[in-house]
Amino acid sequence: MSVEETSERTVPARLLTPDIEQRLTALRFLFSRAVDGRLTGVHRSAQPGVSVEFSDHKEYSPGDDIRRLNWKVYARSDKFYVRQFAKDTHANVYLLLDLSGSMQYQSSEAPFSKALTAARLAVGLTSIFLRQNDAVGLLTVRGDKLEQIVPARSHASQLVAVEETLQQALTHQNRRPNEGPTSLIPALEYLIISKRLSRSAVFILSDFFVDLDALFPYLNYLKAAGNFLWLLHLLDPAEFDFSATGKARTFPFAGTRVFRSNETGHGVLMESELARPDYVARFRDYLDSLHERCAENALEWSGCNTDRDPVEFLVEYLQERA
Amino acid sequence: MSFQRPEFLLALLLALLPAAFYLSRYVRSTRTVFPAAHYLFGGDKTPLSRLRGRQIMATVLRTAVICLAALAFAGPVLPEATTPIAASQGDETVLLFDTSTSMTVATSSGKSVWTTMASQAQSVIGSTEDNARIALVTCPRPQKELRWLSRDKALAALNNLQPSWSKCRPTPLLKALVPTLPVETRFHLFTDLALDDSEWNRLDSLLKGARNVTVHAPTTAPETNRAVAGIWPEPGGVGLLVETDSKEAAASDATISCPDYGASIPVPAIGPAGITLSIPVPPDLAPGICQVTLATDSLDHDNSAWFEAGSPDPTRILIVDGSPGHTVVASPGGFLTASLRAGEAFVHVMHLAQTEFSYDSLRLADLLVLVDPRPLPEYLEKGLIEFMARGGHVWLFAGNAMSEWKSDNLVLPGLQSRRCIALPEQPFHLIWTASDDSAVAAIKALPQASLRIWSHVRHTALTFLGRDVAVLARFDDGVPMVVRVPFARGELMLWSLIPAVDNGNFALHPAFPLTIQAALEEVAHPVAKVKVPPSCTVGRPCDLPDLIDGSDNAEAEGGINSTRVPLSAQHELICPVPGPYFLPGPEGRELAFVCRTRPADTVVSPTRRLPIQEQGIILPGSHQHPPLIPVAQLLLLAALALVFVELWMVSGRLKDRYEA
Repeated sequence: MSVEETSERTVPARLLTPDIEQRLTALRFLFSRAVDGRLTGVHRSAQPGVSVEFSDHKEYSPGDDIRRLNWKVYARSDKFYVRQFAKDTHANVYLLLDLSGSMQYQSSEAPFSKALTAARLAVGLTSIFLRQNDAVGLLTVRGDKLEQIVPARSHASQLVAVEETLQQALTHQNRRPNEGPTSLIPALEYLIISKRLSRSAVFILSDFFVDLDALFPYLNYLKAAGNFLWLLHLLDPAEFDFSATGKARTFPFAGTRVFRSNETGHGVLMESELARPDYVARFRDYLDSLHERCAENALEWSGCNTDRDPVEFLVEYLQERA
Repeated sequence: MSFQRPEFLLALLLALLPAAFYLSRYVRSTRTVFPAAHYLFGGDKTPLSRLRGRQIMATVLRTAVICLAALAFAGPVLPEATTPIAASQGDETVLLFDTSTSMTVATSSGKSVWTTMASQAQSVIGSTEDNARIALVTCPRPQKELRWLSRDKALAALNNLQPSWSKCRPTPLLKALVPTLPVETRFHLFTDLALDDSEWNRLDSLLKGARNVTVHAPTTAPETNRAVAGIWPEPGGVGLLVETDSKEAAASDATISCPDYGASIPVPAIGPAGITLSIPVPPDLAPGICQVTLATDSLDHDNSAWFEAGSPDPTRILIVDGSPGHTVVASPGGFLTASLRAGEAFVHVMHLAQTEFSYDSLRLADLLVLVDPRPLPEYLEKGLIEFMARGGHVWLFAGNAMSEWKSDNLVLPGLQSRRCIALPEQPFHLIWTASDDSAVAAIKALPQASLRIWSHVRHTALTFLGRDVAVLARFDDGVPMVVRVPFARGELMLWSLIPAVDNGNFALHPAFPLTIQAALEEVAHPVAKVKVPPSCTVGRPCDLPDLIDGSDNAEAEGGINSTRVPLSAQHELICPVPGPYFLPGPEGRELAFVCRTRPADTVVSPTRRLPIQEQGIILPGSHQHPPLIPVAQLLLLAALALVFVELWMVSGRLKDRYEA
C-alpha cells in the first residue's frame, strides 16, 4: 500500500457546490437548549416571549402585564398568576476551524485534506444556519494564533463571506506549512473575553492534536455559560479510522520510514510494521481520554474521517439528533 | 611518516563499514509527513535534525575509531625534526661505548665485560676501510661534537678508554646522535645491557625503527651474584649486609679468615632484597685483619669484606658506695672488690662514693654495683633505667639507706623497706629457691650445714612492684635475699643485705664470693673487640684520616695480591684492586684500610636481553629514524576515548529509538 501525502494541493473554486447546497436544503439544525437572540428564529429562546405557544404560569409580581393574568386560576385559588408564552429566536453560531499544519494532511486514501473537509463542513453548516435565519461567524486558527475572524451575521451574503474567507485561508495554508504546535485557546479566549459568548453555539472543527489539559477548561467555561458546543473531530483514515471495519486502514504504512510531524518538525525513524500496534494503542488511549472528558462535561463530539461525504455526515448526525 | 607493520593499514578498509551501514539505513528510510507522529513515540520527541546529526556523528565516530586503531596497530614512526645532516664523507663509523661501572665486572670466562667489548671494538675498527672516519663516543660522557679519527688514531684512542663510575643511558645519546648524521653512518653500541627497565623499553623501541645501529653485548648474562654491600661492628662479632642480583632466594656460605682463626658460617637464603647477617667472632682472636668471604659465585666480585680484630676489653665494674667506710678494706665496697677479683674473670673495678657518682660515669661501666645507696636524683634514676635498657647490669646491696628511698622512685616503684635482725638464738637460715639459676648453681655444691650458720645478720626486707621477678634465695622468715629484676636487655640484681664486717658473718660467709663469682660470670664474659677499618673505593682517590701525613715516598702495601702502590700524597692514594691495605705512617704507626668497590655498583648485571638480539649482535635495522613520539599509544588512546563517547551517546540522555 502506498500512502503518500501530496505536498501541494489545489483548493476547489467552490466549497459549496450546487448539488451539495441542494442536498442541504432540507436539513435543519435545532439546538436542544434555549438560546439568546434578538431576532426571530427557529430556536427556543431563553426569554419568555409573545408568541401564541403557552409555556408556563408565573406568580404575579409588580410590573407584569396584567393583561396576561389568568383570571380562572384567580377564581379558583384566589391568587394572581400570569400566563407566559414561548419565544422563538435566532442563534449566534460560531464556527472555529483549525487550519494548522496538521490539518493539511491528506493520505492517498482520502479525497480531501482535513482542512478542506473542515472547510466544506463549515460552509455546509453556514448554509444550514443562514437558512434558519441564524447568525454565523467564523474563526480560523493557524498554529497558536487566531488568524481570521468573520463576525456573526445572519445576512445571506454571510455565506459568500465565509466561503471566501476559507478559500483564502486554505490557499494561505498551503504556502506556510509549519507554524508549530496547534492551540485553540486564543480563539476560545476571543469568544469568552471579547464576545462574552453565552447561550450561543460553537462548532469546533479540528483534529484536536492539541493539549487537551489546557483546552478543556475553556470548553467547560463555554458550556457553563449556556453555549452549545460540538467538537467535530476530523481525522485522516491513515491517522485513525472511525469506522467499525477500518482498523486495517489505520496507520497503513510499511517499511522503514522517517515519520515527521509537519507542525513541530519532530521526526522519528521507525519500522512501520513494528510501530503500528503501539501507535494504535496510544491513539485509542488518546481518543478514550477525549471521549471521557467530553462525557464528563456533556460536550457533543463527533468523529469524521476525511474520506466521508460531508453532507452525508451531517445528515447522519442530524438524524441522530432528531 | 612510515609504519612498522604496514599490513595493518589494510584494516582501514573496515572504516567503510560504518558509512555503508549508515547509507544503507539512510536509503531505505522514507520521509513521511505524519501529523500524529507524536503518538509513535509517546512523549519522547526527538527532532529529526538531531536524529540525523546523531547518526552522522555516530558514523564518524565509528569510522574514526577503526581508522585510529588500524593506524595504531600499523606502528607509525614519526621522524624527528632533524638538524641539517652533514654531507657524507666516505665510510663513517661511530662507536658508542658504555663506560659505566658495570662494564668492569668479570664474566665467567675470567675477562671483564669491558675487555671483551674492547676487543670487539678493535675488530670493528680493523674492519673499516683505510679512509674511514671513526668517532669514539663514551657514555655517560658524550662529546658535544664528534671528533673524527683515522683508523690508527681510533685504535690508539680506544686503548685510552676506561670504564668510569657512572651509569650509562644509551638511548638519549643515540637519539641525539643518529638524526644528525648521514643515513650511511654506521653506529656500534658496546654495552653490557645492564639497564633499568625503563631504559630497556626505550632502547628496545628505539632499535626497532633505528637505522644501521649494531649493539654488541654479552651473549649470556652472568649467573647469580652475591655481594657484601656493607659491614659494621657489633657486640661479639660483625654485621654483614649481603645483596644479590637474583630475584630468587639462594643459600650461600660465608667464611671468616683471620691470621689464627678460620670458620665457615652457613648463610640463610638471600632474597631479592638482600639479607643482614650477624656473624659472631671468637673473643680471643689475635689482633689483625680478618676477611669475611661469601662462597664463590659467577662473579668473583665484592664477595669479601674485612674487619679488624682487636684485644677484648675487660669488663668494667663501677662500685658506687652509698655509705663508704673509713677504710676501703673494711667497707662493703672493699669486700665486693675482693670478691669480684677473686675469680678468673677479666675485670676492671672502679670504686666511687655515691657523691662522686654521675650520669656520665654510667658510660664507663658494664656492671654497676650500688652498695647501700641513698636515694638517687631523678635524672640518675632515668640514667639507671637507660643503662639497663641498653643491656647494662646493676647489682644493688640494700642497707639502712634504703629506708630513705621514696616509694615513687622510678627504679623500684612502690618500694617499702623493713629492717630485720637475726639473733644468735634465732639465726636466719638461707633457702635457695631458684636452684636452676646459674648464679645459684655454684652454691649447690656447698654442704647444707654451711648455709645455716648465719647470726646477727641485719637485712632489709624490700617490697616493690615488679614483673617477672625471680627470687633466687630467701631467709627462712620468708624475706627474699637475692632477687633478679629484668629491665629490658639488662637486669637489676637485688641483695637484701650489705657485705659489711659488722653485719653478722655475711661478708665472710663462704657462699658470698661463690655467688658473686657465679653472677659475675654472666656479666663479665669477654667480648670480641671488632672494628671496621676505613674504607676506600677502588679506582678513586682515597681520603684517609690524618693518621699519616702525606709523603712522596710512602707506599701502600697489602691487598689480596700484596700489591704495592706508590703514593704521591695521602689524598691521592688510589687502590687498584679490592682488599686490605696497611699504610705505614710516621713513628712506626700504621693504618689499616680496605678497598672495596662502591656498594651501589656491586650488583650490576644484565637483567635481560633485547628481544631482537641475535648472538650478541643486533642486526642493522631499516633506514629509518627512531620514533620519538609514542604515536601508536596516542592513537589507541584517542580511539578508546571515541568509543567512550559513542557509548555515552547510546546509553546516556541521547538514547532514542533510532536503534529500534
